[in-house]
Amino acid sequence: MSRPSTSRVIFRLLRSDWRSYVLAWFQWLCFHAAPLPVGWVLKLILDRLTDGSPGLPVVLLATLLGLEVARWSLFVSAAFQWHGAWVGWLTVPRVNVLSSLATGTGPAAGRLPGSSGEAVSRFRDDAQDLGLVLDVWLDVSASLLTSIVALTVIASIDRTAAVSVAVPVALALGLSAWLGPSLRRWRRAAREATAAVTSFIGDTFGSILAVKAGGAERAVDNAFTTLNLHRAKVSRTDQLGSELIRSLGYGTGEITIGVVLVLVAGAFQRGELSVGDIGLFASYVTVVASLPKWVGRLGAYQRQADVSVDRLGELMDGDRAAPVQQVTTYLRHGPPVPEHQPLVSDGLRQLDVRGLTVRHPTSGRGVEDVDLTVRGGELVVITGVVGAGKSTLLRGLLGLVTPLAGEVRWNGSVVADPSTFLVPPRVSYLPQVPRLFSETLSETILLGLPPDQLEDALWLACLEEDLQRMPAGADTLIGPRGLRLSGGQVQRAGAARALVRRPDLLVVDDLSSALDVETEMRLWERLRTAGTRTALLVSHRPHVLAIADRVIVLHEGRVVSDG
Amino acid sequence: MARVRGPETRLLFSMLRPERRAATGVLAVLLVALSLRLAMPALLGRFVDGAIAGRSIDALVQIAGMYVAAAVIAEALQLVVMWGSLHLSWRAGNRLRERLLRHALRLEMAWHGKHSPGQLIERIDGDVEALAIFFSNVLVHVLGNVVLMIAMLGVALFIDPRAGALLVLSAIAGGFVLIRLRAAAVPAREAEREANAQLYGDLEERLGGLEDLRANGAGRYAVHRLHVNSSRSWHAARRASFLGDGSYAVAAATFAAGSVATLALGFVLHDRGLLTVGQVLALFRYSEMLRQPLERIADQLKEFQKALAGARRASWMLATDPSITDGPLGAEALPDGALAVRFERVSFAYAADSEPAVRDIDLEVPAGSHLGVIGRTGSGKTTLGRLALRLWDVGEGRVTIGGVDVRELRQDVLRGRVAVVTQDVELFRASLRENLTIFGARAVSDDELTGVLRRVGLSTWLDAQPEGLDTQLEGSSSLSAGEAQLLAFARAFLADPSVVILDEASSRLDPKTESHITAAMQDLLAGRTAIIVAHRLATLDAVDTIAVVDDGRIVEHGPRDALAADADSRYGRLLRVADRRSIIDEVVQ
Repeated sequence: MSRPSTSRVIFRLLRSDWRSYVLAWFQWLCFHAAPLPVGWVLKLILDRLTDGSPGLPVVLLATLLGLEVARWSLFVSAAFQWHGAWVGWLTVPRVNVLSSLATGTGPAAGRLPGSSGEAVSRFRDDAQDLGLVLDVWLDVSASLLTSIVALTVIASIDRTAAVSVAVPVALALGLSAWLGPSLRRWRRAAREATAAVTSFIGDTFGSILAVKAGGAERAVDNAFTTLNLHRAKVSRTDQLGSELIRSLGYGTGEITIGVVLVLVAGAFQRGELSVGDIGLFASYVTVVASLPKWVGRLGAYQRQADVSVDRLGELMDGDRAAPVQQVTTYLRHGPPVPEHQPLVSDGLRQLDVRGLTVRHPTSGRGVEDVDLTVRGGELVVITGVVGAGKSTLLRGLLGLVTPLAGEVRWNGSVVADPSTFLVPPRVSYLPQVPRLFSETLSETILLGLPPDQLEDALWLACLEEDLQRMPAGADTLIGPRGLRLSGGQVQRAGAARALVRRPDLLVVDDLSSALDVETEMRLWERLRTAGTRTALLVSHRPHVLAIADRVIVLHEGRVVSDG
Repeated sequence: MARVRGPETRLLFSMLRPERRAATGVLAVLLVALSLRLAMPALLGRFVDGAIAGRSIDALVQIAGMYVAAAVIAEALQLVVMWGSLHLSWRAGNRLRERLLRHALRLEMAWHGKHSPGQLIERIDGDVEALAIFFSNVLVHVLGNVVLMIAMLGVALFIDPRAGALLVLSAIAGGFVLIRLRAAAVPAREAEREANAQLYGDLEERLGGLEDLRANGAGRYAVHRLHVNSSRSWHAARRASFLGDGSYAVAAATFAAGSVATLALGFVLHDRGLLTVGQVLALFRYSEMLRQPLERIADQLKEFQKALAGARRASWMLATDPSITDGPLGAEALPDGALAVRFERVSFAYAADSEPAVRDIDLEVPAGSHLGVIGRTGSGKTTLGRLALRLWDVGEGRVTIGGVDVRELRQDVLRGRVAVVTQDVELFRASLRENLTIFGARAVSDDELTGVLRRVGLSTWLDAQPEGLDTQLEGSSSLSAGEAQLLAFARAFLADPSVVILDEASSRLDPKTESHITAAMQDLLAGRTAIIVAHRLATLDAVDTIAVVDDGRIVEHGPRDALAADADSRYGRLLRVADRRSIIDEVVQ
């Protein structure tokens, strides 16, 4: 695979909506350049002050005021335009990456980093890092053009002045460019230290029972203090670094004005330079002196974007350019209402798994050379001890992890990509701990489906009694990740979500950890009589084994009994 | 800003107090830096006037040199101020973070039930962040800029009263516009933040549940939601920009108008011979310099609101007293060895208006004996253990351990003697060692740690970990549910407890694994009192007595053997239903 450079990738992002970029660039260029005419008019006014001509220079003063008003109006327009463009730059990689993760082929979840918090930071911080480069390109180019004009004007008035501006600014530029990369390193360290602190707080209170029951309050407090000390140290460095870059802009300006004054003192005293020229130098120097600040940021952001492009690419199988490919963003009018394809399939006659070998990505354990068959209407149960590979087998079969060997056949034909084929309406999967979303119960079950099957699914999942006790029935908000529901309710809501899609085959990973026997048996009874008839499940409940058509026993990753 | 004496301001002052000396030092340096800044336009004026008056080049170069020196020193001092204020604000902020964490740890489980970890991150870190930023900024920006502005206006008044008065007027006008218009933009900024929070919150959930989404064919729906949220964010960002940047621009234009007016007045006064050219130039520079401090102060007003809100929430949290507090008795109140547990006429409800979770429970578990508790989900089994550990306080009656009311004991003493293992294993993103000892709360040697892991049957697993006890656990992703459960057993037994409460602790284990560790468990439970809550009856084969709980009451209690033999007992009936379990024994063997 070719490895496009970071600048190329970001340029492609620019092209995704080049009109808004050019528009933003042009407006910012005008805004950056606005001090040039303002400074020139100021020079004319100051010269009038010294040449002794009487009366107020009304026209010049009015022009000055008009220029200022124009400049700030331009600012509003540029900022307005820019904010829209900025959201667009962030949206393109987000949509591409999420589409690939949620709808692309292959075991997408394996591409995600450990925690979902870390994953979100890629969508937020890494996408922003790309946007920041586009932004800083805009500022650097506008500031550079303006500076060149400003320096040319200064040089046309006095060569020495131009040199005395250029030298300190060049020094600051060098310092800034040198500092830029460290700046991003410091920022990263500070971010990591902050994440360590927040995730420690989250873990502590997420595990408050363990902390309290273990009497570990003081130990936790000490660990927290250590993390805080480290964070304070790296964050201070980071903040001081940013201040240094800012100071390079402001401070360089003031110092340079002084240097110019020193060097032009003679010419000024001899009358070769007017007061207006001095005023012009002072205002133009400020323009030129802002260049190092932008260049410092360019170095910093560009370096950071290298990492960010990699990190976004990792989410898309290592393709660095994939996150920035052309995509419609629908920002102005919102996306069109999604169409629902009716859920139809040809029905399941037989599912065959042949020679399936799967390894758990982190622990390396798994199943070896597994054969199994599920015929239409059968209830097949997989059982075995902890670590026998039951869950891994299901996940490999469904393509949630990539199998090392083996094939899956649906009604006799080989399934090329299980992760996109073995989905509703063919297969629904209910994991051990289903993830619900913080919305209403019906929304988290339907996930965009029309609600006509909802009633049936709620009944099949044995949720009807629970619903009566909820304040707003199926429209009750269930809290973050369904926190307001009990463990059993979460699992049954997950079951409803699988069943509302009317799958030909239901794949279930152990219901027993949160459901009592009676409820689980009632659920199977309803399912067998009124819902999906074919099911493949992991369980070690005797009751479930008793109603199974076939039981497959796994031991140390191999089938030891089938029948 | 009118209110000065709320609990939030007291909190701000209590943060500042230990930093008084450092703050005074920083402020002193800042004043020097500012007076240098103040001198610079005046030097420029003198330079111009000097040249017009025909003074020598040396004199002019000297003035210009002073200008350079002032600029360099002012900039350096500004960095020193920044360094100092960062130091003290981080110290003060971390001090408050630690105070809040410590306090939250002392609050009872009922309180934690109402406050999610996410909320606490916001309280302990987010709010304090706002406070600390404000803290360092008040010093550097607000105080410094107020002083700078007043001094600047003073100098202008000194140069010429009329011009000075004009500057004061334009500062007031600009400041007014700045503050009023910015306040109008605040709701739009809030809406923008809200839209972004919605976008990221939604993404976080969808990414966390990615497999669920894919497996349910709902991937496209997730992308659709991202589009909807992005579009909202786009509209919110543009609106906030229009109002926010618009008000900024209006204020900037007002200041520019003030500068032009100053220049015009300077012209008139110069014509009448009241001002020199240099003075006009200096006044003009001052009028331009006015904008920045006012902007910074206006910025801080917004931060001030945020900081006050944060301080208010922090002081509320600190004002919440734990309802469960330490009793007077220490370790000496309890005898060594196993301890009896007694529930005496205990009733308890989780909230005042909810149904009681347990009613009028009388139950004794003699020292060293093992009680099995069974009953349907929600019958109150779990509550018994929580009351014994005093994670909640009973409503009526009392719970005693070794004959002592749990409310009479210090909490650390009680929890040093009573251990609990629940079905939800709580692991930290930290090393295996830190997970077992809970960040060193138990002083245990590595040998003891590996010993306990071996006893619960995790030695093979441990051997497979490349870094042994230093292996970092990433939540529970590197462990199967069953292994995590075994780790929880190990953690509980490290404390060498006198009473052990196992709450559905083996429900995630399959029968084979469970029977494997049953032997180890018997060994570990020997000589300790145990309360074992289970819905799998096989787990309770070895207990001494059985209690059946239904709807918060004990409906049956007696020796296990007697109940098992009694055909009419509830336990006996359940046992026969479960007898089909021989099926699994057949297939597994």
